[in-house]
Amino acid sequence: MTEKELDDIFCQRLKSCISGCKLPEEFASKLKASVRRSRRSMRLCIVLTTTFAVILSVALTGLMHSPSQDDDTKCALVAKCDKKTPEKVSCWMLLGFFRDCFKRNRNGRRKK
Amino acid sequence: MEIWQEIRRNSDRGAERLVSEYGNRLYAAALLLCSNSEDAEDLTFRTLNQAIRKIKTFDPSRNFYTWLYTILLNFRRMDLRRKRTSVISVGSTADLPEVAIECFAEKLECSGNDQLSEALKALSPQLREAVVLRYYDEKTIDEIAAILQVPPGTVKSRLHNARIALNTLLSGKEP
Repeated sequence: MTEKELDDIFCQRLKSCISGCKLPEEFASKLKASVRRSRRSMRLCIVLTTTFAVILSVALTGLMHSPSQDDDTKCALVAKCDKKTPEKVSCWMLLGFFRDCFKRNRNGRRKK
Repeated sequence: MEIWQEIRRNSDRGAERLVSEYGNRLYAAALLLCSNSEDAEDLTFRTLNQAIRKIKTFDPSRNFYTWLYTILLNFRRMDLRRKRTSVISVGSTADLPEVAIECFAEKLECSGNDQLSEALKALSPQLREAVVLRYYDEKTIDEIAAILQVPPGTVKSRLHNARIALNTLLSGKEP
């Protein structure tokens, strides 16, 4: 017996082992439904990502190009607060205002 | 029109054609690899689903069935890794006797379908893959080497080892 003959017998036996095994009838429809479902979810994902990107870019543009108050405006605002000589607002000033909010009298009550 | 072109154009009609042309062939190969009809059906389903989804990556210069088979094998390997199934491995055949062709052919012919299926189940996944590709799909050594991404010499050695192991298993002895 040659190798070729043995191979033929092996092929024949292996095929007879699983002869008659077929996929169920509804397999194709199940596959089609699954493909459609994954397409739909992919589209939804694309729409959501695009919307998120647009919102993010609009928000970033808004933050970067928002009109900031220049020094003159700030001085004018300070001047409005009954001060005779307008002075620039510094961090220390703001900290002082913040501290004033929590100052207390000798009685331990908060200053009005 | 080629099947891959049809899938790219219309996935519904492509899916139907895919199942009718390759479904049963892949399912049979999956049955030999999985030895369980539920697992085999699931494996075939995932393979065909993935093929439709990734059809744009298919290279038309390649054989379509070989491409499908590669997807199937990758899924099978992933499953095996996840489950970490303990296969009665007969990967090492160093101490097994050499098979006389006539003797092995006789055993093959005399064995029942169940006996042969059980013997196949007992082979290690690597040997089983090689056997299914060679004797069910009737691929050449070079084709099997391309699918499994191993040198042709490795394929030959796996087939040889599989034959020795099957011979022992069909004799009813423990390998």
